[in-house]
Amino acid sequence: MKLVVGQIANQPMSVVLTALKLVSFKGQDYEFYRFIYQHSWELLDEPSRMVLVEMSVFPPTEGGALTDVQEVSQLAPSDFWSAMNLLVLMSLVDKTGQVDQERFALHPLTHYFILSDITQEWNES
Amino acid sequence: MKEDVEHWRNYRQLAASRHTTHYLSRAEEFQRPTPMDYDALEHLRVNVLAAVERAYQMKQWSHLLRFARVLTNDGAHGFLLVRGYWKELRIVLERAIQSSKAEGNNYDTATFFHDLALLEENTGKYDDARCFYQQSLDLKEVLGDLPGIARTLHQLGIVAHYVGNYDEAQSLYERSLKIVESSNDQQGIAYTLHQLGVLVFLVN
Repeated sequence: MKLVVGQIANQPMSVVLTALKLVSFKGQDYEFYRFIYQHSWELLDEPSRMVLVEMSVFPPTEGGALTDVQEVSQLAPSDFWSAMNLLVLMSLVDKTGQVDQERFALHPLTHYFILSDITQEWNES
Repeated sequence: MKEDVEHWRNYRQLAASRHTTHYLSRAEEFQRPTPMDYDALEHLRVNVLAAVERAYQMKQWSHLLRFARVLTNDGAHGFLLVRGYWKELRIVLERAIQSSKAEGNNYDTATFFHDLALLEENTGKYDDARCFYQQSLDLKEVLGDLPGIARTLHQLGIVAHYVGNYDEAQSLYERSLKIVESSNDQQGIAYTLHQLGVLVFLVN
């Protein structure tokens, strides 16, 4: 649900709902999530895709502290933060913690999507 | 599409490599056996252990040895042992032994066997502890590492002591004592005399 709401930030609600209606006949298995993730991925610009892939090297759910995720990234700080803000807005990255103690992490399903679909390091099963 | 997959796979591998290097240097900032450093490592633990596993998968032996040195410290005061992450410690030490063997570093192999034995001893697996101490001792004898030999003989004495083999324990303590006396290692002498005293008390 959060992912679908996240897509509304970048597209008219009617477009998102029409696309969702088409895939909803397929049922609530991974295909359904894959469709939503793939759609979100296509909405991302290149820096946001880079940061999302970089986030997948952190353990899912645990993620990393603010300074750690930035230092692992290849992007310049200004590009990094605008990309990260978009990912958080689209609910592709979870942001937790208080100010100055923020952590950024991927949900296990998002992590799975990157490794099985984007880099295809994991066999789909 | 295939090129895209290739591109993102390569990009992720670069990110993984940066993650490993980053958490190695972060972990090395907190090597002292103090509560503050243990707390700092606690915050990094999940990422550091993920980086250890990745270094192992990628056969980055020198990285793995550096991680192991930080996490085990001198064996008795390592973060993973002190904070009770024994399952993780066993995995790190097994990986470290494999790495040091691959690097041909007998000194590190002997040290990590000793640390693994210490873990088994602390968890009551005395047969395994004895086996690993013996492997450590064999390597130290080849290296001529006298302080190391004294330490491992001392620990073998403790294991014999725990399982009630008092004669064997006494013999091992005395062999250890001879070495520490020859090098005038006052701390080693004190520890071993203490153990011998406890042993005499028990026997009598």
